[in-house]
Amino acid sequence: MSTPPPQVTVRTPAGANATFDVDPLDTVATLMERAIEHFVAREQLEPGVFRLGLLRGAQIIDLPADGVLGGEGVGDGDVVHLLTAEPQVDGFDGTLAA
Amino acid sequence: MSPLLLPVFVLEEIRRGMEEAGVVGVEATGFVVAGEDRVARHVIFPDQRAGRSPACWVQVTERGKAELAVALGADEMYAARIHSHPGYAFHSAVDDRNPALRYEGSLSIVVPYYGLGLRAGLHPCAVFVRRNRKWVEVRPGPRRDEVIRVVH
Repeated sequence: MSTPPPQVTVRTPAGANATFDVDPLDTVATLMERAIEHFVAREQLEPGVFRLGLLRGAQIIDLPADGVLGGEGVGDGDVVHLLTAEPQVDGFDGTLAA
Repeated sequence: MSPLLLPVFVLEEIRRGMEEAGVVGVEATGFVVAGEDRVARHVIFPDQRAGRSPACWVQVTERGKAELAVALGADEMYAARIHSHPGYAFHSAVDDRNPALRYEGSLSIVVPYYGLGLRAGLHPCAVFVRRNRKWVEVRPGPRRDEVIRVVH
């Protein structure tokens, strides 16, 4: 009997979530791309520049895109968050919305 | 998607947070948390910085982004982002580009007069809904009621 693959839940910045089977040797970037594709297809997210953070207690630990999941301590049952990598700014630069 | 139901106590929470920033002359930005029933539960004002030069602006810091991620319960979503303006309520090009909360049906609310506008409820605010990757303004009336309603 084979061992089921580890499962990791990914949440969007808005809180939508989905669970993915992963290989501990997958890179963080691979999981992020799969997750973005999944959420964009369901209109739960729009394409953009993101990074992944691992939820540990009440803290988020940044995951390097080229790291492998196992090496970064991401394992079965973990929750990782897509975080926007672009600035989240509201303000006025003299231009009204189109 | 059913309308976001915004209880008056959440509206008050938002107004207090925005007026606190407004008394020192800066904008504030918050995120409205809702359950699966689309009833707003509370607002989160994440760590943010704000300024008045060259015009008013407010930015969620990296710490604030992490706070937002940690703050959500398993059955919760951010249904709307809401920020204050010093004067009239509208979406600027910068507001349009903000990637904070962009999914089909998400809401962006702009409150006039540093939050004071909320003393008259949601009516003076500008409300935008995300449709086909664009922010579409919904003015007060039946069309706005289809996306957001204040409840007592």
